[in-house]
Amino acid sequence: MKTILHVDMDAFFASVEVVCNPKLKGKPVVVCGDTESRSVVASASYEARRYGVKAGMPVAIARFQCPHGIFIAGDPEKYVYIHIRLNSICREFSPIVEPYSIDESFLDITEVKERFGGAVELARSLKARIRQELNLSCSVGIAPNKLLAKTASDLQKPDGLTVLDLEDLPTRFHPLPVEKLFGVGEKTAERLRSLGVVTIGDLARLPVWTLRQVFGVVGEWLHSAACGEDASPVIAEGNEPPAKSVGNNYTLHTDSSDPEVLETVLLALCSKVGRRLRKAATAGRTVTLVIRFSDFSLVSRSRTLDQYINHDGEIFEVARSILLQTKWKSAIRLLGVSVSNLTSVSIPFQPPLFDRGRWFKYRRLTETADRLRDRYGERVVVWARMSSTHPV
Amino acid sequence: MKEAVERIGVLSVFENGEVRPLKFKWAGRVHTIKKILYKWVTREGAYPVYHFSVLTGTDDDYQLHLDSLRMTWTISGGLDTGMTDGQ
Repeated sequence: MKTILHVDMDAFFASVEVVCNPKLKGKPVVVCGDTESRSVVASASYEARRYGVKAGMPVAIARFQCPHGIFIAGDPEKYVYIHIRLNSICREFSPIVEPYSIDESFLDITEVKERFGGAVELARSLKARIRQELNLSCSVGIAPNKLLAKTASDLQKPDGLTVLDLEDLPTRFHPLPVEKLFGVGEKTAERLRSLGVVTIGDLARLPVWTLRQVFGVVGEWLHSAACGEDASPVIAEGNEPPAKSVGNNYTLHTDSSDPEVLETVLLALCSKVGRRLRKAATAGRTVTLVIRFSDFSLVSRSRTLDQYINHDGEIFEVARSILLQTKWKSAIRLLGVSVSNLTSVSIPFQPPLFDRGRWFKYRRLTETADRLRDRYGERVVVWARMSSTHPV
Repeated sequence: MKEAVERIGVLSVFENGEVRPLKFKWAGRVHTIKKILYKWVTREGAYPVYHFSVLTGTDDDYQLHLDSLRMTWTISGGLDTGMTDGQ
């Protein structure tokens, strides 16, 4: 049987801000994308959570719920640096570490736990190292699989250490509300409640065929998850399957119908996507544009091309033409661009039959700009159109 | 994200491959660093940028940033700005 450890940083972004500014300790700290705009809460300290503030909540609502909260614009680069250090500490304990998100990781400690005197001792040492190195607390769950380890780390927060064995399932896992099951979102939980399923135990007792009828293939997964079964391995960094798509989206500061503004935002998004594709040495054939209107309705349109592309201008041309062909119901709140149907760019691109000179010139220009960005940072070269407005 | 806003002069020690700010001159005063609260590193292209969250002798918090390409120090708004935001 495997032994999996899940480490989850406690109120990560908010805790980092408190460590950087100890005057914030004990206060309701809310970290968000932008304190003034229409962004959402990224992290809330436990003091802010007492007012009902939680991650994903619009900042305006968080301000209403917690008027005395201290709202801080997050610093993603700082959090990424700490995330990298967190995983390097984890790798001191096991070579099989899967960074699951910016503030949580799975470790497969099956083969290494005895070197530390057992799984619990390993977890204690890991927590101590994280506190010593990063001055941050975390909660740890230990279980025979990833699903149960993640559930376990959530059972005792903050600064917890919980072991969940298979024999604990009837007493500590099955009585939990069904929305606590890793992978069950609000909508699924709602549908399950309409079937009379309130706890994870209720779900485990429901016949598989009923779940299959209601949820299709997902029904089978729901049943095995409720029974505490999960065969997914911990995938060490570098061994992940290749990405299926590369995309970025952006919420505008104010809703807009101005083509000039929207195309500038679109160009910035396409530049980001193009750069990420080229950095990963990939190119794609399908461009998808996502538009969220001011009434929160969402439209997604895709176009698949004959050839693979990964240059900003090429992606922009397709995304712009989709934008122009889309009927706008109202002003636009969010734009998103993604490229899928990816392939590695080890095969050279096929130049077009006509206008080859311009094509080669544009490619050389992009390569030069990329080399400059590699050396001096992303902001050293930008499209002229983006230089003064809408820095996405 | 907090923007680096002002270039400053910093007295610092480079030792064992690490840099440690000791004092800085800002707003017409010399501020002595009592404690480095946190440090982290980001990259501007190939060059690291070192960030320090520091506490001065007067118990004020600041963020200092060393750009290793330009070899310049900048200071970003006192972290207390965040507190006024929400009050």
